[in-house]
Amino acid sequence: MYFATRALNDEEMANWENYPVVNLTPNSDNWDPHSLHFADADAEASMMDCNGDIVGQRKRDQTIFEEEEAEVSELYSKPLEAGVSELYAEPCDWETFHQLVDYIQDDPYDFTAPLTDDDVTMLAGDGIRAQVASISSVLDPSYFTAMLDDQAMISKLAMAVGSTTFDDTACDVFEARVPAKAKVPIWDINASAISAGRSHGVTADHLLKIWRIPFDDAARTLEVTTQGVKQNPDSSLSRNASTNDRAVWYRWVSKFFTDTLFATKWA
Amino acid sequence: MERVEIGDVAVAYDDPYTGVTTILIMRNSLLIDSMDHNLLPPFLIGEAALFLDETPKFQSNDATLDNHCIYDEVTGL
Repeated sequence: MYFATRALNDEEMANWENYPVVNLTPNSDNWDPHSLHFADADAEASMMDCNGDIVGQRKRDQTIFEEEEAEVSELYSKPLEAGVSELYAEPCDWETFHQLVDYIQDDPYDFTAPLTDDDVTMLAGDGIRAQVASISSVLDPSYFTAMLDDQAMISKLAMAVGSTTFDDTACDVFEARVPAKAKVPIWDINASAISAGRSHGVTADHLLKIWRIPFDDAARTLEVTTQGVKQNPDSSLSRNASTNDRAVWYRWVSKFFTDTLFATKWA
Repeated sequence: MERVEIGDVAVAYDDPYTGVTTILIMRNSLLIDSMDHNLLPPFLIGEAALFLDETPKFQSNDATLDNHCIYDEVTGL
């Protein structure tokens, strides 16, 4: 790709603030091309799961700060994407932190976005809609649709993380700035299950799911790991919490252990 | 190569369609006197949070304005 550029003239150098400025490279003092950050689990590797599929689409310029918060990014004087990586090298001071919190509190909603036709209709008939929706949510199509969408998204998210329950309550200050696509704070999701009977130990399928590693890796991990004492973390029954740990007292011979030596031949 | 200078560089780009002049910043550039072209690694452009598509439009199966371009969402360049 080729495009023509030229040197800045005197007027442009003197009044560069009057011109739009684009950083073609990360606005940082240093950059290590040999850094493993780009290849390891922080970047490229984290984009694919154990089956080689994409785990999620990541918008390139999206960071923990929303992109419309240009004022926030200017606090760091860096492009948004590069700014986050810089935060690890240069810890945020308290002044910047308070400015960020104040900014979030002052602008919880974006009132600058133009209203759609649906928004206008809903605002005009808000009282009527509230009365109808109070009878049953299915009587208000937009409300009902929104609930279905939310439930579908929650269901998909729950399936993805292997969770059957979750709590969508979160900090009021920061939840307002969570992108609309992530209405369910993932840090509040709890995976739980009820099972009866004694624990049979960890399986490769379970490790594959919770660690998101290939099956072969999970199987190999189990091969080199003993499960001599199995405790069921889901059970509160005391009889399931065995205190017999003799299985880890002694050396194992193949698949069994014993503290008694049986002589099979006359000495 | 030895004794290669490293510097932050600014060049001007004149948009042929709008006429708007934009200042392009390149940090930590290698200054080589014998070169009259500025070479830029596509990886670094991506790291600068710019959209980059290297596929020429005539090679694209479904050519759009997104093909073969560098786009800055902030300035709209």
